[in-house]
Amino acid sequence: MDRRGAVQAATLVVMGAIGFTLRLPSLSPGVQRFVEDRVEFSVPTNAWRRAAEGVFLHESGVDPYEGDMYHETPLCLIFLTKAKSLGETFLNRLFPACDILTAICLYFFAKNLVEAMIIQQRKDYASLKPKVQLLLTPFEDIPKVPLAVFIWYILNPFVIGSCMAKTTSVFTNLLLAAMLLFTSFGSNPVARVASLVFLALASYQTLYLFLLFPALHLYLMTSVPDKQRSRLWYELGHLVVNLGIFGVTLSGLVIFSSMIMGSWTFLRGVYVFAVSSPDLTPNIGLFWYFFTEMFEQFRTFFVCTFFMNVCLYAIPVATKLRHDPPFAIFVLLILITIFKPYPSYGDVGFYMSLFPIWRRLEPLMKQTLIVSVMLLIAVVLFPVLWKLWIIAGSANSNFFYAITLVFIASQVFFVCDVTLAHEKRQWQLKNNAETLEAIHLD
Amino acid sequence: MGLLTDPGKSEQMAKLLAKNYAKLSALAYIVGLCWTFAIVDDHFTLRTYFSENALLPGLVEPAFTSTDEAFAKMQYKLLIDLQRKPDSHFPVDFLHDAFRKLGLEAYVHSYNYTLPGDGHKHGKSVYAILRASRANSQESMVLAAPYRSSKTEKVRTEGGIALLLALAHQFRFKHYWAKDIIFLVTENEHIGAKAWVEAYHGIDSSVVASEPLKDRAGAIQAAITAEIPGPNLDYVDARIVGINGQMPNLDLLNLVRLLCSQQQIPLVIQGNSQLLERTPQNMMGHYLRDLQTASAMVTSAASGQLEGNHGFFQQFNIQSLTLRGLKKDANRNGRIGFLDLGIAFEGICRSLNNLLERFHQSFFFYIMPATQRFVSIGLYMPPLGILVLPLVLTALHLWSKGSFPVGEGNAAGGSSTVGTVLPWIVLSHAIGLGAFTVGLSALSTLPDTAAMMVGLGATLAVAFSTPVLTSRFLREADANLLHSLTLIELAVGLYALSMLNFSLALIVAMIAVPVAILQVPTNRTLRTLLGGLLLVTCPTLVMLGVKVWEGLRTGAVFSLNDLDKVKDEWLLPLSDLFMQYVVYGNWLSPVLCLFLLPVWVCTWMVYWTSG
Repeated sequence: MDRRGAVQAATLVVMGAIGFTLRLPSLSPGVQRFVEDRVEFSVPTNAWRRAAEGVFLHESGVDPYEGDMYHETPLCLIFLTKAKSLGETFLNRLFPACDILTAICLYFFAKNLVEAMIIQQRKDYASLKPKVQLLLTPFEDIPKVPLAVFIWYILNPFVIGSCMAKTTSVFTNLLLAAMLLFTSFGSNPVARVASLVFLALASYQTLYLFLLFPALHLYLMTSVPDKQRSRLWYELGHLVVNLGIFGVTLSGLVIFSSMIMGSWTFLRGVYVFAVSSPDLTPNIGLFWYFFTEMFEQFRTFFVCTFFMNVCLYAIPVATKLRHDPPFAIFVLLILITIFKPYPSYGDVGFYMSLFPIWRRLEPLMKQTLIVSVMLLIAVVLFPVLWKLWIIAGSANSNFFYAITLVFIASQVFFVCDVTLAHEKRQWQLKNNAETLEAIHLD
Repeated sequence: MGLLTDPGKSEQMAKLLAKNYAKLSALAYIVGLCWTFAIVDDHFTLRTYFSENALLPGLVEPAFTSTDEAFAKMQYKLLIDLQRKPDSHFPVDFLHDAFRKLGLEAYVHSYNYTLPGDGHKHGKSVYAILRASRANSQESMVLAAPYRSSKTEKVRTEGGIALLLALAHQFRFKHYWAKDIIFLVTENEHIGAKAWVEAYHGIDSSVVASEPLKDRAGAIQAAITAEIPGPNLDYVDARIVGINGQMPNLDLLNLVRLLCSQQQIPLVIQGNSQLLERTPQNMMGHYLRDLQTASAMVTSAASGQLEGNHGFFQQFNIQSLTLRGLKKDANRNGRIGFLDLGIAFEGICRSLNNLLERFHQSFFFYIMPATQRFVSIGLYMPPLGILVLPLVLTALHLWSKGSFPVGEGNAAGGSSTVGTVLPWIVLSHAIGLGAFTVGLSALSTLPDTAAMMVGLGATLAVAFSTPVLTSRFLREADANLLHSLTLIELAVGLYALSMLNFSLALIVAMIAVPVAILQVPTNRTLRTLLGGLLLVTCPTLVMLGVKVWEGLRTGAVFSLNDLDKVKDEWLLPLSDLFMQYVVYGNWLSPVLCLFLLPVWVCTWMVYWTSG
């Protein structure tokens, strides 16, 4: 290993250690208690308190899905029961350890991806005008970007809080990161199967992630030789195989769960719950306020509409961004976070830490200031308005919901901005056009 | 999404902003300031009105008669006699017996409390529950009075306790109560109230450790604290501002005002006795009086301090206020006696008894220039928004200066990114956190004020000496970005603060905005002037100044000759701020240390780097 590599490795180890320590609940019990109670971190589908309740019910021989408290999947239940039996200390180390593992997965994913991106653009854009060349990903990104992703994940306050609150988003994030990592290995068949299996696991854990399938399929197709890709039958064959692996794994997981639980009640507790969102505890999403205000007879209609709204984006985004499927996955992750019923800071932190991969887009983005200020305002005002509404009783739900809208709007602005910047860059590279407007790159 | 995607628009905006931001900022600040002062005027305020129809105030025939008045007078005399005894203390047994004799469930609640730097102490409260005959103890209201020893310099409260007993005497056989009525007498000022309210809701705090209450009534809907010295009063002062500027529901104040006015009891707010006199006919006099009342309320709310024991009830979502009986002239007897007060209190209780839901209508955020006029949140927020606007404009301008460099600036040192200024922001916040920790830990070493002095001096020294670092490591191009980010932090912080405590945000905005947006001029004199201005507005120094001024106003003598005295009288007030944070959660000290001080340090760094 050369000197540079050693420095890189040392940084990783040090940052990892810092991240692990920061996530230990014993470091700051006050903060831990604070985040555990925050609705921004703990939502019905990932709260530790509910998970622990489910484990307790399961251990006492009661079906946890009979009640209205527990919404984790049965495998998660088994896993947490095991983990809990190993003691409090183990549990307190398990969550940070999983988070560090996620960060490591993301690190290697970013590394593979940036390398692939550079190889690809060498191939695609051989002769560019010098100014347009500035848009390309330079070689120096190979060590820089993965480290940035790692640090963004390790030191991301959203992720740290989410881990401290022991939300199960930690596991979903790990599964997603593993999926991304295996996908980035390219043509290796084992990796392909693994990535589909991890997508199935992630979707099993959080229903809406199945929407990543089209984008993931296209991503897997990028490593297929060009000869095969040009033939329709091969394409269809790949789609059938991928869909088959994904579908079989997912249904296998569900059937296996029903065998463990001995009943199908978990379907209602997990998946029907995730779609119809009957728990209207306020959170940072759009659903709770809408469904509290709405007349009950329209509920079914709007549940369907909202579910369709989330699903609507999967195929168009994947098709439009078919030349850059990893970016499509990134965009879809943001959209799912915006439109699913129970989003939490854990999801927000995950997609945020992927952003450094596309940091070359930043100079083309126009709204970074607005987006970050809106985000800052929302993050500061969430606890303030919660206190005014719930504890002091002087404000009301409208105040809290207004800030939710600011938060959502900031994410929508962000996703628009980043997609637009991506398309602009693509256009410029393709047409070898200097610039639409003055770009200032460092 | 034309808003976001139109290319070239933002550049145009940036140019427009660069050209006009200074004028716009100045204009916004002046307009904001004028508007802030204008909202007190009659043309902008609204007349108070009842939103909650269920209250039905003053519709019942008063049952409080001269028999009850005589009972109150008798109790008052007994209490005074007890006070006169040489070893007088909180008459727990007397009160317990008195309530018990009236047929109420009476209990004694004891608690221990520890103030930082002070030993363990013990305290007791007496409370009695009158069970409602028409409902099953689901809701209740509280009538409270603090007990004060004969040595107190504050308003005496025996009258209030006697009134409580008389009301209990009057209420006990009535069939119409639908809410339990809790009569509460506490000692040790706010600690007693805090201990009882927390014990009632089963909450443990770090300061007070109390035994569980022996019995409870329902959820408390409202609480009235009476600080009545005795009969023969002139007027009543309604203290409404609670901890951190929290206000009770305006309907409660309306109710109190209406029932007092039915008994011809003059009611004032903020202790402003000018409100008793005839409204000045000339416009200016009228306006000035309103302004004085409103600004008294704003400063009181901004200080975050307790105006009375009602503040603790408000923390638990219980609408509450304190009624303080006052005399115009200490030697002359006023015309308001127990009968008027009794009827007014009875009316208040009967009205509250009608409540169907907890107070939720009317206003929770308001400022009052007079007892019958108020400025609601919708009216006072816009001026603050405009007042803070200069920060946003200047921040945007400085930001666009960084992201659209004009050629040579870029060549000089490369463009600055958030990454390069982040360490400075972190440093400034670390200083703030340090100041806060020092302040808190110095508390436990009190009364040795030397610790406070050393801590304070050290943090100030560190804060003031940051330019030594910045002059070496902070580039001028970065200073602009740092300035921009500081302004953004200040703006976001002020908007957030305005939700929590509007008054504090307003006062901070008035002082900080013009100083923060000024860019370092090249002219030497102006530069020095700005430096001086920055020094004067250092949050710690401002706070020290305010405390000293408060001390001077209340008549404390600051003499430089006696060093011990200086320590006690100059530094104790400052540590008092931290004490208030620990004891009852006044947020002024965290806001000061964790928000304003870091912002100030950043501005200070920028000052020494640019120009």
